[in-house]
Amino acid sequence: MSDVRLTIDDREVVVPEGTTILEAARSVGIEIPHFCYHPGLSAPSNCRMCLVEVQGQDKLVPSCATAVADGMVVRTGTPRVHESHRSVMEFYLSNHPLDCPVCDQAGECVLQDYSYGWGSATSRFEETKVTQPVKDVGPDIVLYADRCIMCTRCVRFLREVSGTGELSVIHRGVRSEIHVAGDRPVTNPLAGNIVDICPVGALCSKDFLFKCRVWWLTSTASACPRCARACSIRVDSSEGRILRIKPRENAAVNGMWICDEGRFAFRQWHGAGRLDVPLVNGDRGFTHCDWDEAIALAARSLRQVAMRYGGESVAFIGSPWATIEENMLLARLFVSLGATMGSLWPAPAESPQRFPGFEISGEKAWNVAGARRTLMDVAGQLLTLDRLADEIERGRVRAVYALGGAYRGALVPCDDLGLELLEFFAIQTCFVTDKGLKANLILPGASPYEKVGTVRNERGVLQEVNAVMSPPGQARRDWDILMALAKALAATVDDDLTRAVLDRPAAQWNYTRSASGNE
Amino acid sequence: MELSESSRQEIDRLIATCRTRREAIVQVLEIVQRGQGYVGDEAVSYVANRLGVGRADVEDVLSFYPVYHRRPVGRFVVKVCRSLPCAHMGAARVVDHLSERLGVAVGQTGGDGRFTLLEVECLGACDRAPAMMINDDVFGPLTPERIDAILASLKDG
Repeated sequence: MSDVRLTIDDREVVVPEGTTILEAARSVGIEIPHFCYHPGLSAPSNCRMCLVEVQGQDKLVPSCATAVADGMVVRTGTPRVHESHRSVMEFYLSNHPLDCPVCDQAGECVLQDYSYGWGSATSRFEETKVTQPVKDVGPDIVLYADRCIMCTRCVRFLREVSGTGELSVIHRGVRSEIHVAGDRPVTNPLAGNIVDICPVGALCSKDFLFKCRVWWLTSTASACPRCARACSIRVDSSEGRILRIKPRENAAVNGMWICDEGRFAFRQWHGAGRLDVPLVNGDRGFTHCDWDEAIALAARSLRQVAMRYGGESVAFIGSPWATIEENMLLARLFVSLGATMGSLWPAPAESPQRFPGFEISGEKAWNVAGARRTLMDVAGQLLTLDRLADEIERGRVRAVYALGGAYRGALVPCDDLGLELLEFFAIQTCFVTDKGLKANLILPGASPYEKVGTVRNERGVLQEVNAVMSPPGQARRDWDILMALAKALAATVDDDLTRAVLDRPAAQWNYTRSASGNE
Repeated sequence: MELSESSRQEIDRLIATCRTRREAIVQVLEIVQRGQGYVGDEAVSYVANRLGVGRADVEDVLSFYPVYHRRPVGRFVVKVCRSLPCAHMGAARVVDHLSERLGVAVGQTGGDGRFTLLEVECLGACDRAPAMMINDDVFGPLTPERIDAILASLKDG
């Protein structure tokens, strides 16, 4: 496809043929106001907000649906264009309830933003406003139909991306209304995205409703731990609590969307049952102990086994829920003790879910590819858990140290692993229920939302993950636990590694690094 | 659902000539309404299934066009134009007179199932304002006397 040269607001712009005026303007940072256009959906050009002036054309043209042409001269800020924006806004606001003080969208509402630019402080509308109901749209979505401006982004998303088509527009003109066909609420696994793309406060998440004003939220860019796709996400939190998760645009990973499993995955790590103190398994069962004691016990036990049976009798298990750095530190630490056998917890496998415009991976952990490659790089080989069980049974492995970090109940039941044959088994994990793993020592680690590091998704894309909050109680980041253990073992942990990890230039490890996503 | 065999065949013939199934919705609904007088919930499901589209898509089209009835209507559907020219020429008086004569409120169907009285937008008969339509025939300009005469001339059957 050849390039087209045009002028937008006196700036020379070169874009591929077929680009729309709106997108061409966007590429050079000129934002044309719009409601119905969304970069991930078809453009019906029904909102009339993006009209601009094109030299030589009498009428203003919808920039979202007009392709650029060579030599075109576009103006987005003339008096005529502003007048058009003002009159379009007058129509939108005439029936809008203007209930921003009680509306969840306030602060991130496109209609609100534009009303500062082109809205009138007074209304000429003397008639009675059309009032519309509040409707249940799905398990987590409520529609305030009053606030809807009929951009139809939600309708198009459900037709084009999820392919499920639960919503439509009924009636017409001023009475038009988003309609849920009675027998089919919006329950598809991508449903939450329609709340994200609603430009106004019409579609709201019941989970987030009335929880927090958006300007009090702290946004942290990270990746989603739920599956091996590791979607780019933005975690919005307040006072150390996660309140909602939204997708970040990243063409290399997730495009513009995330699934609802990922959106609510934080519930699988947080809440009841989170482990917040080290537990040691003694004569009286599991009892609390302090960190110094716990680390000393681990170091002493591992050293004893290594001295008695040789370093290769100590094995390690990495985790697809831990970062690349954590897995690497684990592997280097144990290899330096003489360990030769390492393994990796398998991520739960489900069937992938495919939609016309999105795919959810069936591998239910974010860093399967990163963990595997890292452990292989350091240890040279990676045993399956079955092989490890063999080695344990034959008495060639006498101690195991594992990273966990899985969501509630995801670590495989270890009955077949023969862990009870070991002289020492320790695991860094998140849940009290992982007591079932029959470890001698359980160390409270961090959830994915409490970690800093890098993960690699199933397509080989590396992404930074950032901590939204601190681990609860005495729990620590897994990296810190491993560093404490290394110190207690007097093992030399490569300075280069720690620096690399702290600076996080994962590129040094010869991985291809993705461009990080835009908001 | 009382959709006749001939309506079903007509629908199948129509679908065969359409490039996309979505474009057939309007005409299929027209066939349904011609056959049974209205488009009920069961008919919506039938059309959605037959065309392979969602119920939501059918309801979308159905609610956009006031020509479709969602509930059973009388043998005579009386539609009075309420657009500007007719309103100026006394459409409100026409509605009041009809409502009184037929004993039905706007939007209702009489107990004997004979008449349904509706207000609609422009019938395209501004030259005969105030105008009304009874089934497929347009009448106007209307006066109370003329309305009485028209009603008297209606034949059931």
